[in-house]
Amino acid sequence: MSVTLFVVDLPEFSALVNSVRDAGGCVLSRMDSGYWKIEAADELHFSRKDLGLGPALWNSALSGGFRGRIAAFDRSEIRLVRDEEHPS
Amino acid sequence: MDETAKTDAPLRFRGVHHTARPTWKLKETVEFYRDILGLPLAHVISARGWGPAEHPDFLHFFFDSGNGSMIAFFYYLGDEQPEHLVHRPAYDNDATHSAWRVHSREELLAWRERLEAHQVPILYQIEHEVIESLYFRDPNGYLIEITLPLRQLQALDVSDADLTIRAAVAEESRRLAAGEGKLQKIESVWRAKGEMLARGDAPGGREAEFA
Repeated sequence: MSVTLFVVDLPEFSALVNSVRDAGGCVLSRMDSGYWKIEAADELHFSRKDLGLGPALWNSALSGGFRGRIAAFDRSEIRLVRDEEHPS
Repeated sequence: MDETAKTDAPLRFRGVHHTARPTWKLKETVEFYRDILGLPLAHVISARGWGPAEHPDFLHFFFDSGNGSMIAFFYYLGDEQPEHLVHRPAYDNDATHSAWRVHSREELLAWRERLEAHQVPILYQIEHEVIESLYFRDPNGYLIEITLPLRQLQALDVSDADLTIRAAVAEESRRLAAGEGKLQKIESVWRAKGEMLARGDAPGGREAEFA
């Protein structure tokens, strides 16, 4: 059981992928379907300030799809966690 | 070719000929589109009412909006604006709008300068996923967007669009069948899409490990 975020490999979403590329605690892989897959055991965390995203892109940052649960999604922070109720 | 094959043959639109909306402000609308935006008045139809018995006489006037397209208005003579056609500045009313293309950021900023010079309030200037847009209103309250494409759409945009819509339709169908009603939160669509991707339910859905 883990938390997974898919990010479509298009330029406007590259900040999400780049932010985890060197981060510990998650595994990044590229799928043939054109999506990046970001996996973590318990939690994925993104800061809007670190990503440098404007409001439009920030609000569609998870639009590639995910497995897990949104624990926080406000103006400055996204926390995606393992879903205990609906385990993948 | 049988009839079915004929009707299933690929057909494409070739761009915009004209958009059309009603106005109850003749002079203000002409002055805004022709004099402030500077779009040439290209064509006018002036006619007696025809069709249904209650149809009033009208002016139907067209401004050149580039690439062979025109922005058109109907001005109905002796007609009072009905309450349900008063444009209210709300997200669902403003969803009805057209976005007019420019070719460069310089052009987009030049439009902003032009509008500000004429005291037309800029509502927003926003960078979306694939476009950057200016938003403002005409004298009727209608929302107008001027937009600069930031990149060409590619095959992945098309396959991602297909996957998102399939996920949304499937999730709404599931909810309706389960008595949960229509879609309420985008989170449920993102989860459905995530499950589809995890199952490999996308074009070329196999995974290659990133070295």
